[in-house]
Amino acid sequence: MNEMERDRELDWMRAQWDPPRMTPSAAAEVLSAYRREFRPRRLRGRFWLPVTAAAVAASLATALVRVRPETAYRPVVQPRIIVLSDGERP
Amino acid sequence: MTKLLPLALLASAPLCAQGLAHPGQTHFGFANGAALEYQAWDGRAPQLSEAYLLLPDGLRRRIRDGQRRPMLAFDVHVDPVGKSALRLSFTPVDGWPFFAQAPAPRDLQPGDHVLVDVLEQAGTGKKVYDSLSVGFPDTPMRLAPMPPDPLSVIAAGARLRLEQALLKENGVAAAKNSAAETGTRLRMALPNGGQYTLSSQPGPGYRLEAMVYGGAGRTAAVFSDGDILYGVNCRAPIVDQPGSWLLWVRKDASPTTPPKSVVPPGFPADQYNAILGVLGMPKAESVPSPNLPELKIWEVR
Repeated sequence: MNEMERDRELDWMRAQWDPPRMTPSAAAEVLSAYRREFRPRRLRGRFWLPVTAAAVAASLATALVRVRPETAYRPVVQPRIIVLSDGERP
Repeated sequence: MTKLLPLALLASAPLCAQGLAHPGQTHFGFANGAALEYQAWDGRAPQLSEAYLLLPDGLRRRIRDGQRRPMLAFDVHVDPVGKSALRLSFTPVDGWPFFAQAPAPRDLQPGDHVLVDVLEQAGTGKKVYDSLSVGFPDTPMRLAPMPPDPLSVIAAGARLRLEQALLKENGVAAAKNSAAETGTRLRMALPNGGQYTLSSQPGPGYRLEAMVYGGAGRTAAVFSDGDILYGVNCRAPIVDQPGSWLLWVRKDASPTTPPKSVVPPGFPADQYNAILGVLGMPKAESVPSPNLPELKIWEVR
């Protein structure tokens, strides 16, 4: 930081200032206010939604894996030419 | 898939030696003197995509899977063997997957109806078939549309039921029966003089060429005689099991009058008949007859 960017007055004030001591009750009040405001919201929106979406996606993927082999088609090994007119049966 | 085939083939009609014998039909004549009517399986496999190409002596069929990857391709060849037989064979297409083993070529009689198993369900092993008929340019051929479900052969001795049957000739209502007839063999006498017997068990003169389409709200037996396609629509299931079935059918008497045709709704009758005249086909009626004659049905032993 060069000379022009330094604020000597602010540096002096910061050096002279001590933060107030936090009382136990104030700390508990701030912590409970934080939890009340942020933690439930984080859990509702930012935590459970992705978890639920991932679970749904995993369920769908599992279902597709289980269903697909039964509905997918593949070429037969050797086709038969079945002449229905001669009474041949599939 | 079947719906795409006529469109694809119509687009390539100039390549065809003789064009379409009937509007919307996949009937082709080739330079080698053979004719082929081909119908791809109309199954519930929307993940597959198909393309067709006409060859000088047959048809090329290409199938891709849901990721557009080549899945299967083959050429179907029809070659005359003398003047009274035709040879059907399958060959691979360069750069495409093919069957592990090609089917042995078969010599067929003109008008023979053939099924070829092309695909199978990986989980169930149920096979799905393409339907085709071979002949010469003057051989009457008309394939019944393939059902959406994989076909099964009906159990011998199963009871058939034709309830409030409405008979259609080439899609035009021709006769009806307001009763319900049941039996292992049911004979129908048509107003055109033709008589046919549907059966759940084989016997002399019977051919395994009729199909029953199952499904909720729709049940019909279809079969063809030459270039006439018959459909018997019923109010109740014809076979007492869900699914699509192959039945035995026997022609007991030939029709004495040609089938009627009807001008499609919204189409000018004079223009439609002009097209039919160019194709050498009889004129169509403007309105189907409201009073249908009786379709006689009875059980035979």
